[in-house]
Amino acid sequence: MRRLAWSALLIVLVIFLTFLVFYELPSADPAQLRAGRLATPALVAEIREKFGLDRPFYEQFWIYMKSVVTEFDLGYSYYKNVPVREEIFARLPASISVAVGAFVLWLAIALPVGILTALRPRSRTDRAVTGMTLFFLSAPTYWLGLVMLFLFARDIGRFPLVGGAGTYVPLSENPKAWFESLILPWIVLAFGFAGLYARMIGENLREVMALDYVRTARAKGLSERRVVVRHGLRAALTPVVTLAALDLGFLLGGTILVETVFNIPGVGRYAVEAIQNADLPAIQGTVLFGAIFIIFAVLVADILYAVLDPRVRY
Amino acid sequence: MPTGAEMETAAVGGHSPLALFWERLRSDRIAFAAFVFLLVVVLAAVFAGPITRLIAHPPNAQYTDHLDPAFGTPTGPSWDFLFGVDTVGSDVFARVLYGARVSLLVAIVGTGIAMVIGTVLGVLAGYYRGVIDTVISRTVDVFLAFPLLLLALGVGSACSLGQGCVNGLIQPGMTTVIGIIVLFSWTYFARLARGQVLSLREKEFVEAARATGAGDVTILGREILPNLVTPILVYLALVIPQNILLEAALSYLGVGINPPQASWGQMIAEATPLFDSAWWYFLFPGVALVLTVLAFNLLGEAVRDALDPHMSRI
Repeated sequence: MRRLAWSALLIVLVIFLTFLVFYELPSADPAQLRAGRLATPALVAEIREKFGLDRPFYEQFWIYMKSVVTEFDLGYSYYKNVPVREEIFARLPASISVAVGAFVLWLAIALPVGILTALRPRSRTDRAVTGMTLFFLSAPTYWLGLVMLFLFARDIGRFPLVGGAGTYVPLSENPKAWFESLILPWIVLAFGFAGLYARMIGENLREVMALDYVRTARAKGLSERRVVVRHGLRAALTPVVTLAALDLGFLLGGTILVETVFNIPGVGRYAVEAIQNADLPAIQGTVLFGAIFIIFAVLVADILYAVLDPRVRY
Repeated sequence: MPTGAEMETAAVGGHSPLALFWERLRSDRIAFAAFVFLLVVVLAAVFAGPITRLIAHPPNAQYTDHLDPAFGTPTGPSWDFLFGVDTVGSDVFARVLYGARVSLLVAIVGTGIAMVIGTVLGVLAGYYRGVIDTVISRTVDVFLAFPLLLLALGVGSACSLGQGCVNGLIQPGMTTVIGIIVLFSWTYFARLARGQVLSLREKEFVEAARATGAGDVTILGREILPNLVTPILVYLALVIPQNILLEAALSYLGVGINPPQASWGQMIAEATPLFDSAWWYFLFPGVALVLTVLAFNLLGEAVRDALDPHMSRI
């Protein structure tokens, strides 16, 4: 219950912070920005009146807050004059495809590799994983994406294998083309994290495997596979769940960059286009949307953690 | 595992962090290579002026005669232009060197300021606890709830419009990026310092100091701060590469360093539309970025292993 209240408070604070950043920081006049370049002073004054931009700070915040909470209204885009919420929802499937696919790939690599390195510490695999991880964590996703396209894209690649930039199609239209267009973005996004988590799972597992109850399990005559999977892995994975939820934020950031490089029409590219058009409400909407999403993700992870580890209580 | 020789020196006792670090560096070939590479990068950044005058060209000069005469596209590496020229005929080599200057300056200055602010707040929170601690810790939690890159984008675009933000105090370009780095990095240091101080303040030597009549200022400055230096240095080595990547990402997305000033991220962004023909334009800034970040990460790991073997990876 306290956990829920904290999440709710966090959302309010996040709304406040976004409001502060976008209303107070820019030195440009929002009414002028909305009216456009050729606006008459009368029009600017009318807009200022209509959107309450002449009212004091706290009143403006109250209006903003109320519309976000009650209608999830994220404002109107300056550039296209359409609700930002609709624009975001229309682009959500593409972003979810990128993020979820990367997340799946990330775990699919991290789990087996982590177990492998834990069972054979300081082996060649262990060191290779460490090296790969550091490389993929050091290389920015957008640059890695370019290199991948340069090597593997069907239109320009030196070894044409999969679809290149701008070949994204929705899953419902053509699953095969969808998969092909996303495999490079997934790889670029997932590899660094996969290595990091492989190391983390490996370290946790190594510690757990040295505990008494694992020895007991072995003494009972259980098979090694059963000992590792049922006794070791369960305890080793619980702390990873919370961390994975926190890293969703990084994944989201990575999604912005990857969508830009691979020209995928998702929420991230919307944010970047909004920046290029100086479309503040659109940027503000995406930032807030992302922040609220992360708060929910962390909440879910905390609940999951409590389910997985009965000792934790909120 | 410490070797016999290392155990012997450890038994002799008191080694300064610097000596420990140096010892580690001498025995670890990879860390040593990373250290040497970083030294080269720093020197190249500092002496970018003389170097470009000697073997290259001024970073912002445009040699349009070196563009392809038929298409006006950039031409590749030659003896005259080691890394080729870019879309307007500027020397890519010179711009990569000047990009190093921007990257290092922004990341080091930004992280440094964040370190000071974060440490002071963290120490206050950990030492005085109570209300101060609650306020500071909760603020940190709110910051950690935000998707970093998204909000950084928001602040960046809010500050890149018109005359900058906070009444013109923060101008678009380098100060904006440094501001963003400070805004998002102080939380790491605050959390670290708070945790350390919470346990340090209960130690016997602090109690002893208090018993001899030392005031808060003496205890903080003489007893607690010296014990914070090592963990903070370790963190510093791990946060700086993150911030180099952040600067590059912001510049890549167009809210960081603006042309004509050179930055690696911005060069990669400019190279993106023609990356399949002008490979040198995206390859060299990208490789410089990856190698620099990688070297920092490798060195950071070595520093951590040498100074604080118990600290887990962030």
